[in-house]
Amino acid sequence: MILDILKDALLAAIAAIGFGAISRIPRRAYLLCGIIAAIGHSSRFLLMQPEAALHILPATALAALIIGSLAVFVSPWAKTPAEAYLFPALLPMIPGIYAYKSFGGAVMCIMGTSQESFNYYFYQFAQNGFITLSIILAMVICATIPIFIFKNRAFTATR
Amino acid sequence: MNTTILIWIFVSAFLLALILIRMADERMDATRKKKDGHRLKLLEIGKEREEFFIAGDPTSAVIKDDYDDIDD
Amino acid sequence: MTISTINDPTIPLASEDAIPSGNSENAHLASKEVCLFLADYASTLLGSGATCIRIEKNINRMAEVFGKRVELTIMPRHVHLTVWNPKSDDRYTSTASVAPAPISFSLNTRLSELSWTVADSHLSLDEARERFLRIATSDKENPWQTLLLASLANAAFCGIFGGDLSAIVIVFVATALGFNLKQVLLKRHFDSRFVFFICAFVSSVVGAADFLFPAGNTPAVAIGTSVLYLVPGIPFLNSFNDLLYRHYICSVCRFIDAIVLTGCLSLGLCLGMRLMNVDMF
Repeated sequence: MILDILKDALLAAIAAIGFGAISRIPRRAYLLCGIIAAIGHSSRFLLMQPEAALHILPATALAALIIGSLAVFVSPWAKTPAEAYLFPALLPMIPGIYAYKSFGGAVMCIMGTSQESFNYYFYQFAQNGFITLSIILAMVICATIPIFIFKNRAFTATR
Repeated sequence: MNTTILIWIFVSAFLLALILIRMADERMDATRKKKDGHRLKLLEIGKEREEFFIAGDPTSAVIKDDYDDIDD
Repeated sequence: MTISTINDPTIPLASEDAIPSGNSENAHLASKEVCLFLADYASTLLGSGATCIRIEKNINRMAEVFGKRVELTIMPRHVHLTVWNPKSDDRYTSTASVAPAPISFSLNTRLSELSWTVADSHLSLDEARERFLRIATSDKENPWQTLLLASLANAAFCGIFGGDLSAIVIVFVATALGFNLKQVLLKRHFDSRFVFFICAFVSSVVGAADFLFPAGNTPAVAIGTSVLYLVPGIPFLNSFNDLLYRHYICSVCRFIDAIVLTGCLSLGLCLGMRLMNVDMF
């Protein structure tokens, strides 16, 4: 179990740094971004285990809240704007598979011939689409709440 | 051999060739850094003037208004 | 109107008291210079993918140092700002269009740092402009390093979704090949939507290797995660962040951008899966 969590944290850190590199995060933010992503993603992993059994949406929201609070409190030390490592740290939790499954459902809807297949694929389209949007929205809101509360702290980071 | 495997092989071979060419290109860039102002490229589309080049002709660097360039 | 007064060292711009309010021409030129500089700064910051709230904060912070007030309108492709001197009625308006540039948090960070340097050590406008130009032109990355990191990231992602070793290796290769194509095409200024479509297609085709030559037990994870490096996560996050701060126009535009790119990548993936005889559902 602990091994699973550690594995999840390590992989999430690699993923966050790599996807962050695509958006050119500053080099000094690499380590920080990896650590925050590892903490966030593994806490989501933990919350979705059968013991806690949270749905992916509240689990992501809670994890984003943790990530956001961490980001605000380390930002004066990191000398980097909060979003430069906060957003990359959120990237491993972006529901990419839901996103493209939603579009895939839409395509199959159009290609479908019978009513049942249309209903099934429209359900896939709508469900995956809703989950994608609600997860991203929840993620951004929860990650931004700490910045809202500690406004001055967040925007003086690069001082 | 079925079509699926053929497509897979074709796409993979193309991508592999692309990345290898890019690496080789970069390597060449590093070694001969603008030695003669014209670096060696594996594939290049030449201008008409360059294709019918006779030694002694002025190069396109000298002549700015090449006749086959409409908007350059 | 003489241009020479702009660079006249006897007119410091660092505080509003120093600007002779009686001399309207000098005051106007100063507003103009500040406005042009801030417009360049804002459009570069917007091009680097900064959120609207950060652009506003940075601009206002610097304008205050120069003794000016700013009204700022951020449109998806343009920044429109008016700079005026609160002690006189000179004002200058400028619109700057955003150069299409890749998202760069590095540029974002350094420009934010610059705004604080201006505020804290009261840099002169010329000095600020010089530093700005140096930052804006020196935002480089090592493409091979990015390629490697992105491939590792996607392979790690495959591991998170429960892929076995062969799936992870396949995803690594599929991402490296697809990302290389993406870099090559973007460098040649192909349309980004086309690039996303074609890269998703080739990555999903390569990612189907586990179906064609069975080696592992999780072929579906391999093909499903092979395109995830293309998902425009940052535009989605930026869009919802703008939504929270009520920059609705920017928010909607960034959202549509992200949706269109996701759509292109999904179509490429669908085509790839179709040709490889793999079902998505």
